[in-house]
Amino acid sequence: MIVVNLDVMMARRKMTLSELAARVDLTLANLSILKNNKARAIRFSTLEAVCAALECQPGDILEYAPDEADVP
Amino acid sequence: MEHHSARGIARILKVLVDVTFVCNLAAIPAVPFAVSRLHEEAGRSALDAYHLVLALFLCFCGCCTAVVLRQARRVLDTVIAGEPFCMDNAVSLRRAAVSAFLISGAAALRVVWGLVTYRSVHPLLTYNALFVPVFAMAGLLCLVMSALFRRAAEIKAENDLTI
Repeated sequence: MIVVNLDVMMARRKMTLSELAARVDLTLANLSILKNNKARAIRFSTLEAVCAALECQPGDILEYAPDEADVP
Repeated sequence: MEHHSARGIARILKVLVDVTFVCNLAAIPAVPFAVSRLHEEAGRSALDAYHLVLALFLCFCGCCTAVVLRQARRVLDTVIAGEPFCMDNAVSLRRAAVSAFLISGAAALRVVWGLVTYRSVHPLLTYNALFVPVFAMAGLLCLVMSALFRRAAEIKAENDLTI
């Protein structure tokens, strides 16, 4: 599964959720969905805006973690 | 613009469906009396099999059409509310399909009963025989619509969770 480490990057940049929401022009509700790993997909435009706001790479926000069922 | 016109049409249709639904509910208890009156006009005293089957058929179909109309009202409510692509509508359309198939089945049974009882092709030339393919097709249409609404609801849920 893909894990979103948005909270980690926000903590590193000392940025609040509402501050990030204002910078990337997303609603707080949508950003919360993303932060809490409830999102089913993320648009490139959103990823680009988040990376620009947090001055990071997509890999800093998204991480692949194998499911327990997939681990041999 | 088109979205608003669809809501307007749905509102008009909802009024018509409401009126039909109320008339449907009022007609069901009146069926035995109406059939009895028809029987008297035919100049018979004891209730014969034809009128008994007719009364049972009309009562059963009345209940099924009430279910269909109720589901139609529920679907129209969601259209008017601006949230038509939900799982509830897929369930409602499936229920309507089952009701349509039941009407078709009841009409088929009545045709078979007529063929066996009267030993003639006359039952095949009645409106009742026409109900069989018409309601079977309506049921299939409702099933297709149900599948479409289910898929639309899934896509909408996925879209809502795409950030």
